[in-house]
Amino acid sequence: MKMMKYIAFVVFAVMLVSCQKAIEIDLPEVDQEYVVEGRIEVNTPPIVILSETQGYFDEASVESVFGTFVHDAIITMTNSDGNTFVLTEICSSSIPDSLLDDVSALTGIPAESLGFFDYCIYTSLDPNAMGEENKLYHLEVDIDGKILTSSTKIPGIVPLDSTWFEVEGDLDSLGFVWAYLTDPDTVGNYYRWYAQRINIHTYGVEAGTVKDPFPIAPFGSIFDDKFFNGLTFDFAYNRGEIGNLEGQDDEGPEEGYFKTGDTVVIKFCSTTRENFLYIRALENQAATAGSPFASPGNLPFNIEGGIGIWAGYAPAYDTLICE
Amino acid sequence: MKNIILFILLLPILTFAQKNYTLSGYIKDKSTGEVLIGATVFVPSISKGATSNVYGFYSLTIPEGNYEVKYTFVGFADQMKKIELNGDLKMNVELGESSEIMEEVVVEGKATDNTNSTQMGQIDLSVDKIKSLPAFMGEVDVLKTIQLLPGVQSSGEGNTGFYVRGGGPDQNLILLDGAPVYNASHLFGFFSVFNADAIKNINMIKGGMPAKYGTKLASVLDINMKDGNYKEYHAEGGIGVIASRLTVEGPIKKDTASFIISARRTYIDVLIDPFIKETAAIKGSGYHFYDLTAKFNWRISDKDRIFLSGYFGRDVFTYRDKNIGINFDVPWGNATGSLRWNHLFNDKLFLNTTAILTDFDFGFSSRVDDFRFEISSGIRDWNFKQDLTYFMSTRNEIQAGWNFIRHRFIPTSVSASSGDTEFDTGETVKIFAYEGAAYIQDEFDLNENLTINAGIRYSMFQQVGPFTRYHKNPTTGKTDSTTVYGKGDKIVFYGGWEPRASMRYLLPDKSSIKAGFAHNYQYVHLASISSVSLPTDLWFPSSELVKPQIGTQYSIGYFRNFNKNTWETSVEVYYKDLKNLIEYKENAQPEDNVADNVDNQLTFGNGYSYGAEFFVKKAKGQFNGWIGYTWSRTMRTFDDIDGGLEFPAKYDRRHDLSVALQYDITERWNVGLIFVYATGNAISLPERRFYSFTENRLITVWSTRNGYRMIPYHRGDISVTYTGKTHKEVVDPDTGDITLKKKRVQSSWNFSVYNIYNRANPYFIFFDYSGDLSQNNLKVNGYQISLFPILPSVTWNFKF
Repeated sequence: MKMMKYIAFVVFAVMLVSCQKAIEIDLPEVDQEYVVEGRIEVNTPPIVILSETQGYFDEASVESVFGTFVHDAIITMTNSDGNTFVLTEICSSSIPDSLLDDVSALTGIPAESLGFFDYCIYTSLDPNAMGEENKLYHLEVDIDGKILTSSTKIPGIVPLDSTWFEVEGDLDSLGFVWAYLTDPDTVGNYYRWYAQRINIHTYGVEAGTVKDPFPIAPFGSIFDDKFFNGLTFDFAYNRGEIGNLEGQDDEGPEEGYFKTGDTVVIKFCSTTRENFLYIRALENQAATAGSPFASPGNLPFNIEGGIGIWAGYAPAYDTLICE
Repeated sequence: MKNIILFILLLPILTFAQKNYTLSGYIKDKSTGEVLIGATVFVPSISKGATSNVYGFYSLTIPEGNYEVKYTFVGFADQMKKIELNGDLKMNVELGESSEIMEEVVVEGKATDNTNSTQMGQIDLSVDKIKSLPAFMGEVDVLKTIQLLPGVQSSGEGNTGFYVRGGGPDQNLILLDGAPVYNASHLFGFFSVFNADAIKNINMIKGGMPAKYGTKLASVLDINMKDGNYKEYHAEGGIGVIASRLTVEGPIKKDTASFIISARRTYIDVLIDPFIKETAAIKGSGYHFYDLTAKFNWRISDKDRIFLSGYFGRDVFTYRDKNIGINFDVPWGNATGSLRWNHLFNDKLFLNTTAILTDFDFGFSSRVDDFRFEISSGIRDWNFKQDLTYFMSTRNEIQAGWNFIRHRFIPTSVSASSGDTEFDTGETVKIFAYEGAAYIQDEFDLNENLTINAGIRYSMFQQVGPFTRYHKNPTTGKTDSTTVYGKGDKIVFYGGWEPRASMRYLLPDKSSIKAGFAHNYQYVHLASISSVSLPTDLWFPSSELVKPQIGTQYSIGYFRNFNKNTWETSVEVYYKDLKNLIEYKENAQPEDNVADNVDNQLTFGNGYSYGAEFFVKKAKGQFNGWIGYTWSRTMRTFDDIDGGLEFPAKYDRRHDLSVALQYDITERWNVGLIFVYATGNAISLPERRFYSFTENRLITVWSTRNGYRMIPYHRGDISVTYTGKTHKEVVDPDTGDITLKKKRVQSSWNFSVYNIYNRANPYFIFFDYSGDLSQNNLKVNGYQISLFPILPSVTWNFKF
């Protein structure tokens, strides 16, 4: 019988381990598509990043990625008042280094990236182009005659009732940020959570720099009110990381935690359904990469003639000192 | 149309109206009392014959006279009876096993040879023969064997279900003693829910379904359980590497009532548990399944029999990880019960009344720290049907019947809480619907060469309240309004005529041409949210948005046997048109079903399939088996997928080859071999990517739906079966004569090797990124996961 157990164990182990091997896939050459990543936020100028896709197996270096920016497009934004704004292209090579941190905070793009490479956005410096609550925004992109269009709306601001920091379990100084939210009594509210620690690293290689250069959305940052329409409830978020940058506390015991002493600015945004579906699918794509249980599908882009997203955000800010 | 059918139905009555008498009765197995399905009654002098139905009943109407009647059934000795037919005659016959100890081994237990029956694309399999083919992990599986036949495609390792002639896995009607089984697989399709020891007979119809079958588009897999031995108690079982099974059968009252109970359980979890330390994080994780099959039957009189049969099976998957505080449990399973009453009004009129309950449910519950999430779905049917068979004359059999089903669906029921806050997940949605059908069909000889089976079925469907319809704004996707239906309120009605016809024309050289036409409606659908089929796939009914699926199939074939039916060959071609197919919209998530209607997440389309199937079988001899090859094409078109471009179905398979061979080396040693080759599944692949500068991630852009292919699937299995001595020599002490006496305990060893040349067939392909873009060492990788390497197994089977 012992033999039997042994056999069973081996067989089961084999079943579990199954076999995984790296494979090479020869994909035919495909035409590339234009990608629009645009946002219009309350009290903030519109920001549109225009790039192009690459072949899936093409070399993925920083240089090649930064080579995908599409320049010299004619981009216009029209709001529901009928005012049209032409967006101008601004590249990081043309702005003084002293402004890089401000641009980083505005765009959510790491200042290092802005400094090392030519990072280009389209925006409007016209104060009237800044986003306003409950307005519609139509976007039109003309790249050598190829037209891409999209529309979005900035929803109304829904502020959090309160926020607080709570140490997790028996950890002495690490924990999550909690919040109370009263959801308006209409179905169809979509929210996105960002948090930024604005205090300075006091030790380590990053000592002296601001902990988070801009507001960071943790994984699962976007949600809708389907399960709690009209309710008041509490929820917590862990600390997010910047996709491709590993900070000094993004690995090790502090990973994912806020810490006693942190000053955290919470940027709690109302956003659109299209953006909710897009970000949810984007996070889902990242989470299920390689799982057979997810059907491979493209993100629900809202750009006619191309891919990407044009989204309205209505942020409410809270500043919290973690104690 | 209706007039033509009426004419066809009446025609045989006109042509065969002459004075005849009826010979009828039951054909049974002498040793067990089990009725024999598909046994032949043949009167050589007038070349007339009939076969026994699923209850072993036959009826043959022939002119008055003296005859020699021959009763035959494969594996049994023929019996000749002399009769004097000058009035209706009842004759029950018991056939004994063939006198040779070494039976002729045949792959199929088919009574009439395949050139003679009108049914196209029909296959009968006897379980004994399936048992000597190689089996995965030694577990004999009837569904796996079915998939070796042309036109029937395996959905691949790790996937539940099978595909018939371009139809989806939800389009197969799987019946266990008349009760529909919604999910026929254990463990993601590695094992079927049917325990082979309890099965008597399997009948598969893939084309030209007769009118008595309905509710599904693609095929019928009709599985009959054994009745239980009427004469003596017997037990049968097997001990395998991962599971054991036991079947007990015997008389409750000799020759009158009998029972059979069969049980099976896997024990990997039990065997492994002692090896996992109490402190291990995953202690308590495991998987097992079990199933229980039982049947009782009672011959109340010569004219009445009652059957009660049931199936109950469960899969339970549990996962515990103390380190990260995750618990989840995933149980799912089927239960079916059927109560049947056979009544013989007279020697020509046979009535079968059945009441059925069938249930499938799936659950998932998880707990991560203090966040609790539960999701469940299920389907339950109450089903009542009556089928009347009228043996009007020899080779004219009329069947009529009706069927009523009450469905109850729970598409997705969710409850969730975090700490003390209970989330509002809405009330459990239950959907109620009624489905009904009535049919009449007639199989008759128009002349010596032409036999026709024509029938018509009318089916209907009604969804009733309580129900809440969420009306969606097509642009915003938000719920604009809701309509609330009260209990019993009519919501939607669908109905349709389903004409069916098949014919066989016998050519002078004893070969035959057959043609079939079938038009079917399907009101209950399965939607799969993932790229592999899983028990999580959701069953739900037609609704205001979901129209019934409609299938129309045309097929024609040429059948020819050689060398006294030793070799059977056939070629069949088919074209099938499918309407109102369903798919989930892209990026649909299971939680979207909550406080919403499932069908709001669906998109609808059409499809077609065509193909040619070639089949060569050696039915008799020491060396026997078959080769089946299918060439086919299956396409789909959905408005919401790739902007309405035609795309290949996942299981569009240009080439599909199956070889199943057996060789009896000696009386005791048998070798079985299986080889399969199939074109790779159609898949979508990532073609492009872009870097999201706002989300700081690489985003994949996929190809058009199923625009690429996996590498072909092929695999070989081999098995060796050693059968212990079945008889022992007994020396009579008085005379010294040596006689052979059957041994009380009979046993056999089955050694199987699955995937003998260790082919790494793809289960799925996935991609990921390694390294870091900021470090400039980012790489895109493609991986292929294969499930089973070479897998040997051994099973000991016994019978006493």
